[in-house]
Amino acid sequence: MSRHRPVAIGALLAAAAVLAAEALPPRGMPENLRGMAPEAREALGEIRKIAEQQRALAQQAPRAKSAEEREAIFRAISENLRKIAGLRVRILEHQLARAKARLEWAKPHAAQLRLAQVVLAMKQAGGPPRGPVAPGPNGGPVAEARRKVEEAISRLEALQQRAAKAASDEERRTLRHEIEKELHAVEQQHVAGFEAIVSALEERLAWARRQAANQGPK
Amino acid sequence: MNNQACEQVQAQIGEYLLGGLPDAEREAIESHVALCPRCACELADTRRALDALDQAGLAAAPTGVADAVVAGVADRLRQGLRPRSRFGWPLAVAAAAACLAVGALGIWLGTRPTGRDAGGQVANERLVFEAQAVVAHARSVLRQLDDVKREYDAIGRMVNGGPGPMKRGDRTEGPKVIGNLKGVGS
Repeated sequence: MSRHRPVAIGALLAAAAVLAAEALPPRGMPENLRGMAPEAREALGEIRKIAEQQRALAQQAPRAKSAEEREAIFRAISENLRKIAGLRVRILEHQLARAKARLEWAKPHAAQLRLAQVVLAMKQAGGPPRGPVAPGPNGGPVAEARRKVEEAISRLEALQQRAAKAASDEERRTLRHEIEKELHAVEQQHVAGFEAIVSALEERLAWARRQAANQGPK
Repeated sequence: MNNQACEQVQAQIGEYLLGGLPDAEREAIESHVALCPRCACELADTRRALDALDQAGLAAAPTGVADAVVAGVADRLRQGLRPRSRFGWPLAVAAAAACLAVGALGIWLGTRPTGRDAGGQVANERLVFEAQAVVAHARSVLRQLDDVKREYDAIGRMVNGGPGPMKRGDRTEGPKVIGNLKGVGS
């Protein structure tokens, strides 16, 4: 029996992990929250078209032969600027709504995520992904959260080395507790990063609204 | 202690521990061991191996040599067939074989992964896997944060600036066009 005990314990734990994971909501960000909001993408396409028109108008302006012609160009450019200001508000509104939806998804997900679920996900993926994560953009609203996640990864790598040499069940319990603590820390930063994006978009939207008000018809 | 005395004692340790020596020889061994650390060590090692053999119920031995030899010696002792002399070869051979077998068993018991050690190794591997899984998850979180940040930066560039880090030349053509038209329409 003693020879088969580790296998039996392993099988029981795997079964328990499967049951525990099945009881939890699925991992991964929902498809409809990934990437840019379709309305924002559409509005960006309009802005690009208008920007092209602006370039053409800018080239036309020095060649204007009369005051009326120049006046018409000026009006067209002003109108385009007004449209851009409106589109900018629209894009930021949609993107802010999406960022808020992501945050609403991330908060309970972070609170409910368990070690067993993360382990199961990696088993399903066939092991840890190969290759490091490409260095992310520096600075900006999520930089602090990103830095803290990287610190958690360093701590987890040290825990891996300690786990390989654990000599007692007590030590293993302590290490597992620390691994769970790091998972919690990572999820906290996951939410913090999304919150930072929401705040930055709110700030940008407020600015865009002020700009749009200034660009309004006089 | 001289080597000859030590060799003599060490050759008898197996018999001594199995209770197969006459009282006089047993007492001689005990007196020698009390003064000779090397032989005391040898005696302790052989005793530990015998205890391990006993705890393993002999069934755990890798071959049937140990139990056959020990059982043979025990039978002889039960039947009162004590060695005719301290150099009686049949018992000496049996005792030497028993010592060898017991030594081999001791080494095997000491080096094989026991159920508990194997279980510990499995538990450690599982723990390492758990830590790796959390690292993989943390990296996926990093990718998500990078994605939303890139998206935010891209929108910032495309919608003509506003608060947040902006680089020179990120703005769209509006202000530049207005600059070109200074005085136009006035």
